[in-house]
Order: sequence, then C-alpha cells, then structure tokens
Amino acid sequence: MPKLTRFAAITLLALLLTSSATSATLAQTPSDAEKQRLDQALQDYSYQFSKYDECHNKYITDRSAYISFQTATAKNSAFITTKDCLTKIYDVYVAYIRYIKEQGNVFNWNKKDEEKSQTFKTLDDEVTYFQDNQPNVGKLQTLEDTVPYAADLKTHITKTTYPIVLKALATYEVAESEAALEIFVNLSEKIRSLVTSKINQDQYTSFLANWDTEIADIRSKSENYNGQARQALSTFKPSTNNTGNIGTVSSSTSKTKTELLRSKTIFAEILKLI
Amino acid sequence: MNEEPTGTMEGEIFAEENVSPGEKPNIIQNEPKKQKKRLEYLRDWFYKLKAPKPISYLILVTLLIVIYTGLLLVSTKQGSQAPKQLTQTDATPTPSPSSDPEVEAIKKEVDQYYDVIDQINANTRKFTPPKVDLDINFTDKK
Repeated sequence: MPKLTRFAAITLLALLLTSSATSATLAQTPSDAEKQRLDQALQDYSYQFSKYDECHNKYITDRSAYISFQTATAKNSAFITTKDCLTKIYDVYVAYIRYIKEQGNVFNWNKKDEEKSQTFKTLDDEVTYFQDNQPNVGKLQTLEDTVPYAADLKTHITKTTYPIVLKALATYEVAESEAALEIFVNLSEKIRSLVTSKINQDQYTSFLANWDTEIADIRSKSENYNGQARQALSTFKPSTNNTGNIGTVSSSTSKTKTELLRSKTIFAEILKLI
Repeated sequence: MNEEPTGTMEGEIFAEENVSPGEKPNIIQNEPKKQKKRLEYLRDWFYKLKAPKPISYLILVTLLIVIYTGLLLVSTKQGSQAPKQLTQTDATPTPSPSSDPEVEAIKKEVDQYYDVIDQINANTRKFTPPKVDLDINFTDKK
C-alpha cells in the first residue's frame, strides 16, 4: 500500500505540474499563438547569438595566442574554436531568418496569400541553405581552410541572404500598409453608417459633409502612397552597403502611416456624437 | 423559549415500544447486515481477481485523470473570462456614457485599427542583421 500511495502522489504531482501549461494553451486565441511564436523565435535568435558571442570571445583569445606563440597546440586550439564559431554563425542565421518569417505571421495579409507564401518560400529556402551547408564546416581540415570558407560564407550572406531578408521586410511593410488602408476604408463606412442611424442628420449636415471630405482625402492620399510603395517594391534592389535600409518602400509606407494617423482625431470626433 | 418540543420523540419511543419483539431486530439489524454482506462480497470479489494491484492502479489513475480534467475545465473557463478590474467606478457605479453594444463594438474595432497603424514601419529596425565576424585571418594585421 505505501507503494500505491507513492504512485498516486507522483501521478498527481505530474498532472499538477502540467496543468498550468495546458490551461494556458487552451485559453489562447490564434493571434496570441502567433505572437507567442514570434516571441519564441526572438528568444531563440537571442540565445543563438549569445552562444556565438561567447565563441567569438574565445576565438579572439585563441587567435591572439596563435599569432603570439605560433605553436602547433595554439594553432589547433584556434582551428577548433574557429570551426565552432563558423558552426554557430549558421545557427545564428537560421534563427534570424526564422524570426523574420514569424514576423510575417502577426499581421493580416489582406487576401494576398500568394505574396505571403512566395515571401515565406524564399525565407525557407535560405534556412535550408544554411542547414544544408552547416555540416561542411566539419569537413575543414586545417586552420588555413577556414579563411576562404569564411570568405565564401560572407559573400553568400551579403549577396543572397541580405537581399532576401530586405525584400521580405519591404514586402511586409507594403502588405501591412495596404491592410491598414483596407481596414480604414471599411471602418469609416461602418462608423458613418452607425452614427447616421443614431443622430438627427439634418442637425449635422455640414459636419457630416466635412467629415466625408476628410475621409476621402485620407483615403486618396493613402492609396497614392501605397501605390508608390508597391511600385518601389516591384523594382526593389536592396543596397548591400546599408543592410538596414529599405529605402523608397519605407518612405512611402511612412507617408501612408502619417495619413492614416489623421483618422484617429476624425474618428474620435464623429464617435462623440453618439 | 428554552423548552424543546418533545411530542415527536415521545411518539417515536411509544411506537418502538408497541412494536412486537419479533419485528424490532428486523428493522434495526437487517440494514447493517446487508451492507456488511455487500462489503464482504466486494472484498471477496476483489481478492479473487488475479491481479488486484494493477487494477487498483488503473482505478486510481482514472480517478486522478477525471479530477484533473475537471479542474482543468474549470480553470480554462475562469481564464477565458476577462478579469474584473477593481476601479473606483466599481465602488461607486455611475451610468456608462455609452452602453450600446453596437457602439462599444465599433470602438473596440477602432482601437484594433489604431494598433494596426502603429505597426506600419515599426518593425524594420528590429530586424537589423546579426553582426558576425567572417573576416577571419591569422596574420598580425587585425
């Protein structure tokens, strides 16, 4: 019987330990799940980068030791650490690209599923490239081999990975901006219809007319800027010198944002009537 | 006020006294005997089983799972309800400026729309590529 009691206690403890996690999962909405995935991707990226950073510090020490003493032992240590760091660079890039991909899941693509899947495919292909080539680091035989290998990897990152990443980010910006405009259009129609059903329209004729022209102005300007952003995206050539810049796409979407921000005051004004 | 009604109790005692000697043991003793027999039967059945221990484990685990599932369902229901915030308005209820569900729903949509606007152009800087050292060399230059 003591065995039975012990068994019961262990089972109960195991169930209790899993209960909080399970209930949290059951209570999630899809949007929460997507945001959680983004957070997890960011955590993974940060973790992989911290592991690389540790390795890089060791690389600096081992490299200096080899340059100073030129011994076979120091050379071997430098070789092992360099290989380790190269492996970790692959992990960092896999986590980085996955993090970018998850960002594409946290907003509405406004029925542009094909564009979304195309963007995700290019990112997935890049992840596959890093995963497939990571084992090649293990095949390096000498310290001298690591130098051209790292140079080739750098070339790939600069000429292929960065343009793919920047194109994805630019596509996200345009998709987010277009989705926001669509929401604005639908919402303004909905608000107007609701307000006019609840007020005496004759009393607010001029107010409504002015409200309408403001809404039309925001819509027309936003459509124009979004068109410019879409045009810039179609001819988008990421600069390899400035990896954080997505140039004209960003400048157009930021103008759309400024226009749409005007709607905050305008919506608030009309909602005061009801 | 301190006097308790005794009529019913007296009636019961009187009724018991009037019962014939043959009937009395039947009422008082038959039920515990039946229960005892049932328990003995259950115990005998249990000991007759070839493997009572695994079955008791199984019953125990099933019971625990049933309790666990019940608790989980209760906690999920509670979690899905928005926690009530204790504010001053709760203490002194005042008429809400707009209790129209249509208006409330649209205000909620407007708030969500503001969040969407805020997200435009806000993410690119977060995704600056990782700074990794691929300029590997083992000469004294670096």
